[in-house]
Amino acid sequence: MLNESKHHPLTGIKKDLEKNRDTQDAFLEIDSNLSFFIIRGEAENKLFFDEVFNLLGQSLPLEPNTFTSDKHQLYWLGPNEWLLVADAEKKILVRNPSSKNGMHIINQSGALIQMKLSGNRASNAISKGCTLNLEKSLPKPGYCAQTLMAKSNIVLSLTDDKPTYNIIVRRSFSEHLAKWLQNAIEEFNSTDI
Amino acid sequence: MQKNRLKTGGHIQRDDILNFTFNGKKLQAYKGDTLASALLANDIKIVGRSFKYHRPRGIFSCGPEEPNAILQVGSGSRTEAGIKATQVELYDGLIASSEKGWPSLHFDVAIINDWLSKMFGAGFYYKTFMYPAKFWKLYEYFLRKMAGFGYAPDENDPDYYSHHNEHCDLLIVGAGPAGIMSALVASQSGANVIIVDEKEKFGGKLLYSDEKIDNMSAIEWVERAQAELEKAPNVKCLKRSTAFGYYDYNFLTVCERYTDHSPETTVNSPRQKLWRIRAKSVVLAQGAFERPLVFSNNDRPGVMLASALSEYIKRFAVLPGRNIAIFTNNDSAYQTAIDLKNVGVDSIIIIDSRPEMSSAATIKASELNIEVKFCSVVTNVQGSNKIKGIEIAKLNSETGLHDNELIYRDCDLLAISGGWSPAVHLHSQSGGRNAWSEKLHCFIPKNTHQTNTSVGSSNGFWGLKDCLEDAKKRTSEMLTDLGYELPEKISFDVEESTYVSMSPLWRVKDGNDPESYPKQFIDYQNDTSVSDIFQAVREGYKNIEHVKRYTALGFGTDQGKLGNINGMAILAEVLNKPIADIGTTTFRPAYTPVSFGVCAGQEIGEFFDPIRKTAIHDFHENEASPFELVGQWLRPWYFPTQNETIESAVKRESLAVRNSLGIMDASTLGKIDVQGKDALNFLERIYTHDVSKMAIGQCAYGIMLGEDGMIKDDGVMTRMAENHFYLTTTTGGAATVMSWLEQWHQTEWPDLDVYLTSLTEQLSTIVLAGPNSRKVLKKLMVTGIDKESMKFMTFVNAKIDDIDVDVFRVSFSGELAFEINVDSNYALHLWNILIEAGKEYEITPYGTETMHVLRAEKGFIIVGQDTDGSVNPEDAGLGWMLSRKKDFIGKRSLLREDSIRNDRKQLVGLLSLDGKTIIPEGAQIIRKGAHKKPIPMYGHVSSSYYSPVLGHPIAMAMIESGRDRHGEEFLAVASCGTEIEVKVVNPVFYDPSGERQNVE
Repeated sequence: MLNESKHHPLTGIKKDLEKNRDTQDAFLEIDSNLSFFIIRGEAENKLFFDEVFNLLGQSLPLEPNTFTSDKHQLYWLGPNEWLLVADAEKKILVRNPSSKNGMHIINQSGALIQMKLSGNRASNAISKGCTLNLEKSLPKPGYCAQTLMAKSNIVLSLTDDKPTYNIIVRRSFSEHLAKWLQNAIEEFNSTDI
Repeated sequence: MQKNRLKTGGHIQRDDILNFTFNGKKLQAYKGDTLASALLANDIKIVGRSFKYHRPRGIFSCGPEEPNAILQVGSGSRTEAGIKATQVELYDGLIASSEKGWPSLHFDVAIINDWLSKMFGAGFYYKTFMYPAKFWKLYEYFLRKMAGFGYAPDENDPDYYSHHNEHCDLLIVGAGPAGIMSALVASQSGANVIIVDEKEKFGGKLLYSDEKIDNMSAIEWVERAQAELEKAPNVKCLKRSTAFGYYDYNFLTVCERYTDHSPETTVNSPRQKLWRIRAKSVVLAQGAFERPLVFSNNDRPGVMLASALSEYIKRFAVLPGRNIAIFTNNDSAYQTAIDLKNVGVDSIIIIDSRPEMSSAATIKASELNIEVKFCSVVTNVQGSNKIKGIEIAKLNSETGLHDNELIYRDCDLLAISGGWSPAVHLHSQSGGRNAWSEKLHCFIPKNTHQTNTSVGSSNGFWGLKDCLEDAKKRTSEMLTDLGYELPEKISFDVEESTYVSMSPLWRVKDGNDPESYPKQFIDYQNDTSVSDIFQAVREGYKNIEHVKRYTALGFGTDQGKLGNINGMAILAEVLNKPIADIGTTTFRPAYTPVSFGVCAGQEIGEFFDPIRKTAIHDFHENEASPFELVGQWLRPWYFPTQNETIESAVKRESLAVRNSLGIMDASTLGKIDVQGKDALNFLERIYTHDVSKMAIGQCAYGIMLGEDGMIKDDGVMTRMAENHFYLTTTTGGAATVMSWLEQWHQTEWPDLDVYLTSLTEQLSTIVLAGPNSRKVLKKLMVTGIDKESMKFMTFVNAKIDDIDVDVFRVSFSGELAFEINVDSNYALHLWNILIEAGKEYEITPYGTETMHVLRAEKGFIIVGQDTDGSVNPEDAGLGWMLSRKKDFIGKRSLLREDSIRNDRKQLVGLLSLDGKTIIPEGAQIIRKGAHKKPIPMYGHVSSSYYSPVLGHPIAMAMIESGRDRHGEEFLAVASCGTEIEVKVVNPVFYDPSGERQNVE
């Protein structure tokens, strides 16, 4: 019932993108069915750290600009801020607020959208609208960064060597960014056709 | 028939014939030609008319310094103005035309400007077209036509453009000998290198050099080096790429041209790409520009730079004359004489201003039996549409003046060389300084401001060996600084450089007033001549920056490439100062012109700026609601039924809210979650009211002030739990307020245990407003919202259709109203449920316009519309919100003398006396009958609407001591001049006792 009443802003674009996968050097996908949470707390507070572990079965990454991928994805966003990305099926929390042992969890499942950009020209497509030095900021899978792309704030992360980039963007910017990326990758894809 | 094409030689592809059109004439040339070489091959002598005097002009150079061959190139939607023929690679079907010349290029009636040139000295336009002031529009129309700068196409650009952000250890600008050497050293060190060059091939001057490197011809050496660099995994070679801007933090912009050499044939490639390069360090190997010499009529078609002539002969096999004179003050032009001799030209004369001397170059010339006249100068050029001959005089090397005995000599081409100027453009753009070298007679880079170095001839080394050595040495130093290990010794075998430095000759003169001779041009592109500099000084302009502006020296796309040094030297002469004291002017980006398209890249049309949509957007779009752009958000403005005007739609919507039920998407409201042990303490410092008095579950209207005590933002805050608050901000203020709060927390009060998280996107907000709003919620089984159980300004958790919602009883319309927050994923679904449930009450969606009307009827302000950063709470009638018990940001500023003066503008209501006229927003408030200027202005109208429920227009205004003036009459004067009689009233127009928000 609840699932049926959910609305993903990029449903139309998602269908568009699923065509022509094989011919593409840079491929964009839209992820749906994810839930997102911001976790706030002080890393040096052991109670908080353990509380997160108890809840998720996974420790918070402490190295800046990295993420861990186990049951869920946990991104380091700041010295006291993490982003949890989980499969929406895995019910983690039902409701705001949850604040215990110095742990504050804020649901962002309606706020964020994740897309994936992969292929051997994916980095070129990102560098069109993002000023990060990808080789330095995302040297290998497991690194992430908060940055700007096409004038939208994003969390950018490298998940594999293909390479595949995860791009997490605010909901209201997601259509703009997805269309912008769709447009950006045309330059790289059409040369092979 | 390519009259001037040599039978052999050049790096052109003779089997690939290209057809092109110039000024309507069909011509042929070869692949590998530039438009300039193609025109010269076809013996085209006049390519344009000069900017001010409309003098005929021919091709003068072979590179980006070209001042004359500035053409309209391309056709239809691809046509471009201001293109330098020397920089255009020829393609089949190219269409080019001159930008000036009426009725024809060869006979331009505006040449009258030249005949009257004595009148048209420096500052002519400034002085002449000042009066009467209102005639300027008329003058401008004709002046622009006269200037003739080509035209832009009417159609949209058919091409697309791309951007790319890149990072590297070393960016090398220029792939001439020094740039290539630098790249070879850097590539072997393992550093991450980018080398850019504007031509389609690397090599720079080596492309037409006879010199040998490592026993190879220069071209062969270049080709090998280029192949090696292109193979190296750590080197990126960008050809057809111009580094045109050098900004702070070693950020450089490079324009790479993909299709300009073959538009319409390349499929699906961007036309140009803007590389935004952030480099750890930069090697500037841009080379040097040859300087013209300054003498009378030195701009006649057929006068060109000596090095350009060599390049045309050797790169393009084009010989644009047969009877050739060379005028020089240095050795390098002797190479041109040798090149001419090598292609069979016998009639050559060198006029050398230096005293008789012996150098490798002069010896070679005499071996080849080339006639040389030492200690001589060219004083004048004969011929107007093309050069016919020159006048030569002896130079007194002690006085620097020539004698008056003139020898006339026929010639059809005059090659000139006044020495060389390092291309210091990017160095200067980067903030670096230049110093005058007494030895080299040019400005060379000194004192870098960023991590860069100039090498080779852009550092004042003219000979090949010196250039290579300088590049190697400086690049190695740079790599060491970057922490790279230097490669094993890179050696090269080149003959000793033989260049002998020039002897300065800044202008040819005989001691008479320069205004008595025919024009001696310094800057061809801007028609700046010697007499202009004299005149500028005479009229009091003595600083080079002033002289530059008064005479236009080095302006526009020239950016000081050609004439600047001669101009400065002549200014030094007039002021009787050393050149070193004159200084250089500022070189600015772009080094060469750049298209608007490549600057914009992909960010055009729908991608210009992000368009933010709410989670309920699909509904609004289906209802064909016109949207209003609020920040980047698209908000429904109103919801018209068929053919309904905005006025009738707003009337219908607002009456529906007042009488029954309206629904609005308020999701764009800024929303912030505040948690942590010190959340209350933190908010007490931010907001003006007593936050601690709020019970859990209670809402309160709050305002926050800047440090100046002015209203910064407002919204409703709710205490969700002991240490948990939920704030709303204005739509436009969402990001600013979030940053503002973070800034205070992180920089001033890091000790507070507070966590701020934006909920703007997470929660969508649906407003149900109107006397029937509670009934709809009850119908949907929402409990705990009865009048008794749920007080105004409180909130409850609820579920609607199994979806969690937070229901707030707040009102921005003055009616009974509920704001419902829901996870954005479910917002559209919830909206549809509410629409369905509200049908029996004729639920009416309303947009921002109706929202404004409803709130204005109640006298509620909108921050940013009724306030403008200079309105404090007292001014806005919100003094009651200022806590006396606690401190908050901005409190102290409220006690400033200016904050408490009693004539501050205050919020009032306004009614038009006729009860019909809507007073335009922004209208100024003045006294009736006030006519004596300056008319005292009492304030302005900040909001104005027609109120359907009241049946007459209403307005809000900020008026001096407004609250004491209720009942007074004024005039509201709109920007169009309309005057409306108005009366000051209380700003709460409707339901002043607030009963309506408390109905059952």
